Amino acid sequence: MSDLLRRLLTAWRMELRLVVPHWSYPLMLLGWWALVAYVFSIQSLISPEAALKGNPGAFSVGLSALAALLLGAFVAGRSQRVRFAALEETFPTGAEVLLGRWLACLVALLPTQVAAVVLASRIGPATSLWRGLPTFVLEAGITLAFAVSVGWLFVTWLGPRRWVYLLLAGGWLSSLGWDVFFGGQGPSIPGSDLLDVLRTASIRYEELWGRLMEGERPVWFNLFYAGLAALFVALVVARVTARRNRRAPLIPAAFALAALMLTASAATAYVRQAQAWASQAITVESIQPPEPAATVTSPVVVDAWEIAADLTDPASPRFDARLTLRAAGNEPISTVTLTLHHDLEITSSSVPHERDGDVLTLALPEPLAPGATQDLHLTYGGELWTLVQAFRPLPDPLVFTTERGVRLPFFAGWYPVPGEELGGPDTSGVLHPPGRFVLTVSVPRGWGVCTNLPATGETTFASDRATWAVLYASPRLRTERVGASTIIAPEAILPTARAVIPNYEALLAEYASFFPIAAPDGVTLAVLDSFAGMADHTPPAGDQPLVVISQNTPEDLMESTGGHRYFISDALAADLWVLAGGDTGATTPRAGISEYLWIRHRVGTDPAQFEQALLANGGSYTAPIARALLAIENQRGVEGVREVIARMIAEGASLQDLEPDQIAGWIEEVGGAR
Amino acid sequence: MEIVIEELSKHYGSVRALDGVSLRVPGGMFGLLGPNGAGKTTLMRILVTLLAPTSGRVTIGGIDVMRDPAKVRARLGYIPQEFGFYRSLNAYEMLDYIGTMKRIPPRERKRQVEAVLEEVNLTADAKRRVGTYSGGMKQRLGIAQALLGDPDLLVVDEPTAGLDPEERIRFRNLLVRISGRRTVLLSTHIVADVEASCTGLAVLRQGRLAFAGTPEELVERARGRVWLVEVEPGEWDEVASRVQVVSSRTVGGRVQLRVVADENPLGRGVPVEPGLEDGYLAVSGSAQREEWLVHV
Repeated sequence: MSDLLRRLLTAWRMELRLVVPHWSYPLMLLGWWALVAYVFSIQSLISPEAALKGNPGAFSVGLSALAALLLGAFVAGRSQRVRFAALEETFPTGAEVLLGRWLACLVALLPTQVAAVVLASRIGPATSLWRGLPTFVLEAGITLAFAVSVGWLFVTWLGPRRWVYLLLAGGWLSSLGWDVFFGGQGPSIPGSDLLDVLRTASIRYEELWGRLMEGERPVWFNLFYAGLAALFVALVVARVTARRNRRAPLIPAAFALAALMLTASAATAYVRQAQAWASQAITVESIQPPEPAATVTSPVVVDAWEIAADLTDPASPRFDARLTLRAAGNEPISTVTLTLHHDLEITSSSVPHERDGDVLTLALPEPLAPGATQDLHLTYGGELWTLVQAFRPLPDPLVFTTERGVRLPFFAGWYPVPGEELGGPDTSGVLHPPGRFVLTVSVPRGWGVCTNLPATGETTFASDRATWAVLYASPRLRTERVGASTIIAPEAILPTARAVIPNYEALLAEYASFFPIAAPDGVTLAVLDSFAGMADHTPPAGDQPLVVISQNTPEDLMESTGGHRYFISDALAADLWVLAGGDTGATTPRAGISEYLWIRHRVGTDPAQFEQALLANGGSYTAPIARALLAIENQRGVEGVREVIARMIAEGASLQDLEPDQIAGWIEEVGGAR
Repeated sequence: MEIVIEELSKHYGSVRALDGVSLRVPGGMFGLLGPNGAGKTTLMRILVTLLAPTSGRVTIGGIDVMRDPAKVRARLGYIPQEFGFYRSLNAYEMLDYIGTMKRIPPRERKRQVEAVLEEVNLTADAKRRVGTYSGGMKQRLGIAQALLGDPDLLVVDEPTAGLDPEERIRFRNLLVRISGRRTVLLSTHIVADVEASCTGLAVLRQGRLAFAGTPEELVERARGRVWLVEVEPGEWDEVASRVQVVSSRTVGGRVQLRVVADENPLGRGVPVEPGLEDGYLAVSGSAQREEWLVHV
């Protein structure tokens, strides 16, 4: 071992020896761990990786940053404080002592993260923990190194004065307000969140996509703070070296310069990406999952789609689409208008075509007589990237094809649809007239695929009456059969989802008894991301109701018996309605049945309790329908309600035009209520 | 190990802590005397590379302190006026740590640590926490750390301040014992410390060198200028305002003063044999700027 390294290690060991056995150290750790445990207990915890890379992990690191600031300052001033500096300044040492102590500070602080890691490990599978741990440790190390360096720098420049600690603590506290000042409440300056050392404003972790939603920003963020930490250390070393050696500190200065360049480059790259995203983003009022609603009107409908999606190069997918077009009007048609995202370049077409933005106009070789069909073969491909900026200061990618994942929601225009309208994330999505849809997907090895279409094989999906289609592919996505039911979820969430499937099945069985025609054998539960794409009221997947929930509502998964969230109940009821042949547009009668089933599930059929629960439910618009159905059940039993619901399904479209009170009257009439 | 100081000045704003000091210390145990604020500590701190002078040059063993401080540190042991240790460590751990910092190889370090602990009579307390040490023990530990690495030059700044008389004498003797083949530079304002141990000395006054030479030469500076004079208590103030009073005692209702003065005070003084303290007062009272080359 070289002499220099021996001194560095000795200084490191000595500082640890001074810090760790001190009574305040275990006390600090206990306090920190308790706070982290508290935060974990009140946060939504999805997976170990999400906990470490999301808010709980950031809180743990951010909280420790305060300890790092103070400990850095304390250790930097210790020698002067105990007047040992008077001796050691005359020792034949260099920067190695300072670096050894700095390193000891860092090592002493790392145990503050133990609580976060231990708590995260209890949330989900070890694979998720191992995936998140290296990044967490690295980022914690960078943040702590930065904070220690700041504390060190302050004491080196200002001396070991007590007010320096107050200054540092004040600085840390003010950084907590970043989200308030520059986040949702304040002005949005692209890239300004780089200065949010605690990352409160920039976390965009999605279990399905990891940090894809943040682009390359985490890398630049980490490099920026690593550079700053190195810069501050280099400045301290340069100052001490210059003073002690009485000559220009060339090596520390060169190191500081390199660190400065790294910092500046990382900041530039970060801000550049933030600005680029901000300029690309489409501003919307909300990105809550919209529900595909209105059906597009077009003189041409597509009877069948047969699409082979080649995502083996997910950054630039290729599509082979075979469409069967049919003239739906009364006039012959010679040109067909379809919509396809303008970034998807058509590489071949069986008929001549023209493009104008998203609109694709096809010239048919012969006019298409009313009711006649025409086959169309298109190949196309390209990269899709759509950013949406809602209330948050940073935009979110909602449509993308990247090496880390493919997200093609129903409004992405990833396959040709009739008409000239796609809808969007802030509007009700547009449905196309129902048609047969066969989708074959090729993905990189280990990737999972999710669509709203029923699966017919591992990578093939088909529906006879598809009105919209989404396609998600991610290396994290998995599909698993649990008995008759299906789970589609990020790998880390599978165990949790698996555990609650029986609850969904129980609820489904209870509801299905009112829809004998539907006869579902299980439920499909999709746990995806928190953005628009797969709507809450996604139509059933084949013969199974499809419940799509966000990764950010794990309580839906966690809840055991009793108290399923209303919208899950509503999703099941809505899908049973569709499976039984109900009109998707008949939302009022459907919602009335949903409310009846929900209240009944919770409080039973006692009229007084039912009424109380209805009122507690907010005295909803459809309450009269629920009351009428209860009255039928109390007079004629479940069989009576089944008959009424069957009639409602049969006449759903006409009922939609009635007010709930009128529908209730109709129910009492057809149900034979006394 | 020879120390050569040439035209050394250190200014703090308008305050001249050192003002053109030139001095040569050829080796041995050398005392640096002067009242508080004379510039002793400033000079010491420049010698041990802690301070950069405003102007002038210092070489230690031929090494320029300003140009090559690291080399000076490698040959230096220093006991500052005020210093401390990590209180939670014991003496052995503290010295072992300092030994590493002084680049002593591991095997040699263990031997040296034990030797210096023995030297300063702290072996029995080596495993006690430094925080429990008395002032004298800490001073001895200070010497022990300074001796690590077997330095050629030992710089000791006001080492006996705060020690009780017994500890002071023990400490002084220890310094003499270890001075041996080293140069020991002892800064103090206590003349007795120098008198008992140094073969050469210099006196600083208001940042300037007032004397440099041997103790005997300093004594000679007072020869013929030291008087014993008996005065009435009422005359005390008048005498003290005209001459430097070295000491006083009351004898039979009158006050017997030992004074340094060029003329016989009140015409009734009795000349007496001068001592080092008289010499010190004789030179420190006259602040003319002088430059000496000292040959001890």
